[in-house]
Amino acid sequence: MRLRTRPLFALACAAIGGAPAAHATGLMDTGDDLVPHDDARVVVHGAMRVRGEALGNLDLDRGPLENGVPLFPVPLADRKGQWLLGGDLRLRTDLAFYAPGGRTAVKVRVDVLDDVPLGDRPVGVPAAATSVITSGDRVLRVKRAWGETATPVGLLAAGRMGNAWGTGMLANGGDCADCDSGDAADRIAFVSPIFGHVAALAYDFSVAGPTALRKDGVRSVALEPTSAVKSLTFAFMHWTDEPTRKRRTGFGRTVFDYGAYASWRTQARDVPSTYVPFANTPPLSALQVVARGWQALALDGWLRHEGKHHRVELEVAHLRASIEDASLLPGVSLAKPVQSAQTGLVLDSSFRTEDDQHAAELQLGYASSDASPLFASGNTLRIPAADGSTQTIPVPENDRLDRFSMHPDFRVDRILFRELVGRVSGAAYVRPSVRGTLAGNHTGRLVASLAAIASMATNAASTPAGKSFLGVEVDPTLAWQGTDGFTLSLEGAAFFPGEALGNPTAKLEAKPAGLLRVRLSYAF
Amino acid sequence: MKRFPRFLLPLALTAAAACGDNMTFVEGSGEGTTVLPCAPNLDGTLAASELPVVLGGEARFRVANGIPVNLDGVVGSDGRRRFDFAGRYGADRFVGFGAASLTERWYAASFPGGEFVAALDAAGTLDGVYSRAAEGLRLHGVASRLEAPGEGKTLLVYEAPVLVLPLPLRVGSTWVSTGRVTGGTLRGSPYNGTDRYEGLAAGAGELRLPELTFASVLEVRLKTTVSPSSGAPVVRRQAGFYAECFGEVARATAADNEENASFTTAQEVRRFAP
Repeated sequence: MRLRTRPLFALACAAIGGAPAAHATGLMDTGDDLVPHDDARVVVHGAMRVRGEALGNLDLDRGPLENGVPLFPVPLADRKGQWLLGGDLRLRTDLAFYAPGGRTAVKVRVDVLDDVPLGDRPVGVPAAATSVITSGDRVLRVKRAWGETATPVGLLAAGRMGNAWGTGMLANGGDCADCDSGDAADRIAFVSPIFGHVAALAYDFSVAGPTALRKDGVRSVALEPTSAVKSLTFAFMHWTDEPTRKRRTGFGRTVFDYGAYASWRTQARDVPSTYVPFANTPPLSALQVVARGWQALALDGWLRHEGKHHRVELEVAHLRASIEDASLLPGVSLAKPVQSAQTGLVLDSSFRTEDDQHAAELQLGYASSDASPLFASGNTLRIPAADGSTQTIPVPENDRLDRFSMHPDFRVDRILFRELVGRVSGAAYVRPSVRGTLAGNHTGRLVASLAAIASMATNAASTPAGKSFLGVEVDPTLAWQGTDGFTLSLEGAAFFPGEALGNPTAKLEAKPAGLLRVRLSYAF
Repeated sequence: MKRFPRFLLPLALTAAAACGDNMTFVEGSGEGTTVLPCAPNLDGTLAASELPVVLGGEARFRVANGIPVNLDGVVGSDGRRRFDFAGRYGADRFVGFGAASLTERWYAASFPGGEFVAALDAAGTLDGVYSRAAEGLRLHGVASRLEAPGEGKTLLVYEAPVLVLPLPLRVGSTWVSTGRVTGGTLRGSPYNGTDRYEGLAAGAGELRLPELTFASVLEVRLKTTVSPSSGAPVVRRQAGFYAECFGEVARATAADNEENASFTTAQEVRRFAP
């Protein structure tokens, strides 16, 4: 019985996208934690992270965008200043509580002082402050809490759980050491092994819509069932856990894993006044309910081939959606429906020495695009107010939304996509890199790496200058990776912007930017 | 002196990449507002707070001439009135309309109580000078955009501003106001006269435009009788459609001296076209 249940637990945990182990590393982890045992157990994993950084000229000296906002904030007092300095910290804790028998577990992810800036909110006058205020919504964030239980036919999981898949290009649990966000889904999932594969069916309560407190003042009730966003996902995969992969590749064998999922999401109506920030939020009533008619289908395929000296990983995603009425203002409907077809692709390959001391990697990425501005936070529509004056509201600028945006925690660089755009979006890139171990002993190793990223917009009309070439970035890293859980990472980046980021209106070329970042991590 | 470690060179280079002063920051450019100024509450009443005036902006309108219109709309089986202005006319041209500050205008000194100006005609040759008061929107007079246009200067200042749109406005609201011009100039010629404004919020319902549909608009019919001190009076009729938080999103203007309040052919139709 034990031999049968262990792989079942492991496969099931992997497929639901939730973190199978206490450290909650996501979909592709082994999930080998629901092992039978007699006693109740608590396992805690986590890491304390402290980051400091110096950001130089991230506005690229190219003047503001068309909306008057610079690409990146500049110093308040010295508006010609080039450098911004800062840092933040976070304590991540992943807890797993195993019931006696080991067939049921409850898992929680709690982040403490979640990305709180160093020196944030001093007590009293800043110059005289001797302490800082530890309060606010970032002090304690419960990001996940879910339960898992193994049944004879599969694993049943329910709660708020992480959501990760494949390379992390689209669904990303934010589990990496430098990640900042991560997906979480309120989900009921059933996962079962079948024909040597894993099949998973998940139903997500993506959005409940507006709620009101019941008479007990504690519980809530959703007020408009048709405004709920519902998602249904079916996944099928062949997957090998990490220890097994290492063991097999160590013996010179290859491992081939693959998977695919289809996810369907719908929303019939919407209540935008519950989430659009208005200066005069109107009271909830039937008048605030607008037709939405949202339907979206996401298809994703992933495969990975790994051997002793190589790893090749490919993920392709295609998203299609239609929105009958994309307006965010009650009482205003857009006559034309909005259609969306987005495609994203990542090909990641690495070639390494047998002892993994040195490696060379090549990553390619593609994200489709439309002509909407690459640096806008959202499309906007200028509307008339009194007597022909205007105000601006966020609605689709046209009837197409074809830009594919990768997950913010899917990192390929340190300046352009991470800091300026916010994510890989509407662009293609090529990223060669090398990594080598400079020194090492039983306490750890000193690793250096160097990556270069060349990127282009996939639709030149989306860039400020109407050109394609976004630029080249060089990202060196020097890191001490201790065997005791301590990591010290010194990261740099130099970005040499291309013609696409120039300012044709002001006749300015974008200038290079750079950053330095130090990251200390204490893992347990 | 120890040699600089080679593997630190890339890090040092990245730090140097951003040296020098930021030469291009534009003073005053900021993060921009993310809070939208107005959300329609769709209560059927146009309140003063639902007519925000933002100076300096410009919205695009479709403008066409000689278009058949149905100002009464059609009442559907659900009892709702629908005004259909969604047709795409071949003669449509796109014109920007917007409110602007009065202070920079050549005629600013003639309108001490005025606050902002907006074009009266699609050609942008004439400006109306407005202000907002507790009782609603007031018109202080009319002036040519240019001080010396080819057709001659126009400067018509009302002795007292006239109410052109009372606020709050709801179906059934009526108003009458009269503006007197003494010592004015019309296309370069002296002008004296009286303008009588008779307004009626005639109906409410849904308005369909080519790109948008407004679930709740008020139809405001305005009859203006222009009576010069010498010569025959001229009657002008227009129907404007007002949406909460948007203002006037469509307007149909009849030919001069139209007698039918529900005129069926508009000399000019203006429709908001994002």
